[in-house]
Amino acid sequence: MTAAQDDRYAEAAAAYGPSLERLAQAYEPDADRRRDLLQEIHVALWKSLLAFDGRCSLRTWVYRVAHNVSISEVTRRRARMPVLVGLDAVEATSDGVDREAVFDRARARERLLALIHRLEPLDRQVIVLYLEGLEAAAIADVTGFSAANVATKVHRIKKLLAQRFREGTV
Amino acid sequence: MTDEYGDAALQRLWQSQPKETTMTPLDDLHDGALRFQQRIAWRNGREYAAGAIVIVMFGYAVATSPSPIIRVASALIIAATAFVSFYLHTHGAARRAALDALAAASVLEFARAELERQRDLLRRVWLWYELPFMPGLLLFQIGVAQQHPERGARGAVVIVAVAAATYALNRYAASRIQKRLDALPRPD
Repeated sequence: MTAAQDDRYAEAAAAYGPSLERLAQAYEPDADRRRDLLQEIHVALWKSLLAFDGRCSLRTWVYRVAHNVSISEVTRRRARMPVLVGLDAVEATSDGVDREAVFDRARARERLLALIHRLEPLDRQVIVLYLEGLEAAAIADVTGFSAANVATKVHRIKKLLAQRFREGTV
Repeated sequence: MTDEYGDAALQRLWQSQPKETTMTPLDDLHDGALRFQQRIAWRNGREYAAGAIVIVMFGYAVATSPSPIIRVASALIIAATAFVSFYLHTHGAARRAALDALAAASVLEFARAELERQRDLLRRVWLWYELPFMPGLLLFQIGVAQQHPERGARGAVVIVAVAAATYALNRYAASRIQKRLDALPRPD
């Protein structure tokens, strides 16, 4: 435990704290478990920063730790979770939600989260990073996908979301 | 795609989620790290205590049993217990090292490494957990059979059946993990 580690953590938490909270929402629908997951992410981040050597940006470091902790949790609890699907399956199905519904932010966020919760973890992390505003190269750096692969996934995700919003099914 | 559903609109929608929790104070993180280490120490302690109980019980049999076969079998079970405890200890250290490397790997690499670790652990259960106990347990049943033939034979059948079922279940679980690994995209 060092003062530099504490300082780096404070910097990371100040810059990416809200993103980490949204990321935990994407991985964990249950409020109590989400708090535990977020706490676990923060502890792992703080511990990891002892070894931070600048080989990648602080942002990439933070997202890698957060997603890896979350994926470990999702993998561990997978047996108790609803069936997770890939983008192909989500694209092929309709939620059958009221198409007359008015575009309401809270409801739209809720539905956006519901769609994210149905995705496989590797697709989920791409959509979350895209929604956080990261560019394709940065998403590739965090996830390990190629930038081209990320661009394809992001394009499909955007198309899917826009289509669902237009139909009122997100 | 209209602007209403474009990048900015979707990202604004996502980023406008209400904040749920406050920042984690540093003291809580220090405490959290300490609690994690204490949990590991407690879990290790439980494993070693269970091993110690087995060693004491079979140590007693080594010292007092009139049957040489039971004495040798008990010594083999003690050796197997020591081996499995050592394996769990070294495996736990490897798991902790992997968690410490959370930020060193991309998410894809980390997911692959985690699944491979789980698959290999399941594939090898028979080798590091079942096999070491087999000679001692079967020899023990032979020792029992010398005095109570029916009990000894029944015990041996149960041991082999449980070992075979455990082996089959673990192989099945490992094959399911392998399918998930195969579904992961290859690094470009």
